[in-house]
Amino acid sequence: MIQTTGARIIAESLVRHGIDVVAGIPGGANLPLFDALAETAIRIVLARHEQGAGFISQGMARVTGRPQVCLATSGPGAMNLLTAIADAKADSVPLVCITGQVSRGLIGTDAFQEVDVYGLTIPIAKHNMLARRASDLPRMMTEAFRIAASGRPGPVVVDVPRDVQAEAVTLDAWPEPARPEAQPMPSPADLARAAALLAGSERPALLCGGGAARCGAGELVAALAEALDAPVVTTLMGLGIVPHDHPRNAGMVGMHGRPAVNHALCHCDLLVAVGARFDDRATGDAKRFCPEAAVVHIDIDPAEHHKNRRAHVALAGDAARVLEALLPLVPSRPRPDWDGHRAGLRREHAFMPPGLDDPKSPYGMLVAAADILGPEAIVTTDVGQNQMRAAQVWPCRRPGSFLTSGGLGTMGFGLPSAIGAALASPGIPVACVTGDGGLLMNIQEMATLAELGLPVKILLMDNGVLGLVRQQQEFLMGGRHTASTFGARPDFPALAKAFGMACVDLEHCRDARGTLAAALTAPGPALVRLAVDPDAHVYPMVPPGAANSEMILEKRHAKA
Amino acid sequence: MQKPSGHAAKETARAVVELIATDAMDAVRHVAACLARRSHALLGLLCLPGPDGEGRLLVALADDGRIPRLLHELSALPGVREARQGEMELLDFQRVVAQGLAA
Repeated sequence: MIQTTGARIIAESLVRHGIDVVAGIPGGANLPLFDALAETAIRIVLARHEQGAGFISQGMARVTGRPQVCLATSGPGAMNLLTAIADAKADSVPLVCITGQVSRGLIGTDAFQEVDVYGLTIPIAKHNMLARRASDLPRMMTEAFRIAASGRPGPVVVDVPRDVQAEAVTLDAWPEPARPEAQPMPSPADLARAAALLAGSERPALLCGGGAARCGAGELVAALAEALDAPVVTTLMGLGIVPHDHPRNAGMVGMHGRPAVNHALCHCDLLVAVGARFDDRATGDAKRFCPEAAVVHIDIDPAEHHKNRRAHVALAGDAARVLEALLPLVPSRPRPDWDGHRAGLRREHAFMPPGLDDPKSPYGMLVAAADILGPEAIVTTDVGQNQMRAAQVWPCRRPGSFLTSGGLGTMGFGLPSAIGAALASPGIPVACVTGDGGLLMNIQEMATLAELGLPVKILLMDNGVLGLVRQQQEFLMGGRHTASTFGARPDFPALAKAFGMACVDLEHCRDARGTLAAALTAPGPALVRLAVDPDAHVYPMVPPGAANSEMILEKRHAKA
Repeated sequence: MQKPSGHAAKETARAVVELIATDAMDAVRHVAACLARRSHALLGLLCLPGPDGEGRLLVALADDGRIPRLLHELSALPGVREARQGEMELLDFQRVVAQGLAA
């Protein structure tokens, strides 16, 4: 018999599920849990805001592929966590979020720091639970880890009233730790139908998203592309599925994707979508996305099939396993006409971002930083122009090395997720590509970073505006830049110093590359500031609602 | 009763979806949230919990051609063991509701 408490059950469950770091903030309603955690070997990372804690856990989960844990107290603590939960749902990130709740007798009385966490998180979590008895917690915790990791991963919220945490209980034994459920496979008949479509196609293309990247399907994707003589096109979340310099990697599709890719997909006659959900940022006007193509859609979540694009063959299952079963059925043959057509598009619509050789330009700084940090580096981004520039030129070599808020598009994601990435991968350099708008949304986590001393290098593109908003206002709102310019601008080097971090400002450097290298190779965190022209736009840009072929291009490429 | 909206071309069609839930009362909120999130026009939702918590949910909604996809999504909800399109017509659904209220 095991004499324990609700809080100790949670702590022991975390240990049994391999959790060694949690991020969170204590408060009145989760004090027993923090007290119990202190009795274990689990390291508690004290974030400065619960959203930061959520994104730190996300950073760890995105790098490891395993569920990670964040903690918040009731009321405002849980409310602050909501954005990170919704973000994890949108990008299918496995999290177990444990919130404190007011004691059972106070629930429903509008008690101090009481909100309906269960109700609030239903639409934004994969699943959620309210613990009513301590004796339920062993099963609930196991369920939470199982659900978070099984099938399409996602966040699970466990709301635990304070008195349930403190409740004494006797257990017979600990349940076995959760294992992800095995996923069903498509039928042989469906696989054969898909193979027949592939075999008969003349202009095939592979579109890979986060689902393909997550399950490590890269080599299988490359093999299928080889057999079909097809390009591998990625979404933002699929970056790194095959290395950036792999001959089959055509680049990213969509709003700020490669022009030649956006044009090529207009002409494909078969699209194999692997773990991609036909998001509007990737497809542009969905009705005009790959208009001539039959679609084979491989996704672990059957609810994604036919949601945004009707599939001719829908294959539900783990992308790697489905591709493994599909590959032997697909005859390999060259398709020289299609290959030649794409080569022509690449020549006609060459993608040449400006300033690649200049470390004092946004693209140049990214390319130089990637080169200095080396192939093992992990990069996180914020949301906006910095994110799109990084997606366009950062040399992604493997899945799980480019962390970005793709679905929800949460500004403020970059810094805390970089802290999480660094916690999960000791010894690996981590770059946080951000803008002044995004950095200021979770700037408080610079204190967490300085305290932890992790090798996170913040690459700040400081333009004093909400850059992508300004860009859209320029193109779509008649150039009226309403409320997108910051009237006051922080002195970021001084701010970094105040937090106890090293900082370099490339604006005043003669040897920008040397200065950058010194900052990036020194131990511990650093902030690198680059002043950026607020009118430097990111091209190409597909206006919302337009077809991907209807890109706005930089003037010097206007013909493309 | 919510007035059907959106997907107007097919909004006159109706369907009843039947769910088997491991915890019927718990599933109600998740099912309702899923329908709201996917913008389905909900016409009625009947929860029939058994003594041990297991039970059936009957969901009447406008059939705008998306029911097969919805069934995939509902059946993936934790706590929902099975989701299928019911044979029941809307009138039958209303009769079951009326019987439930009378009881």
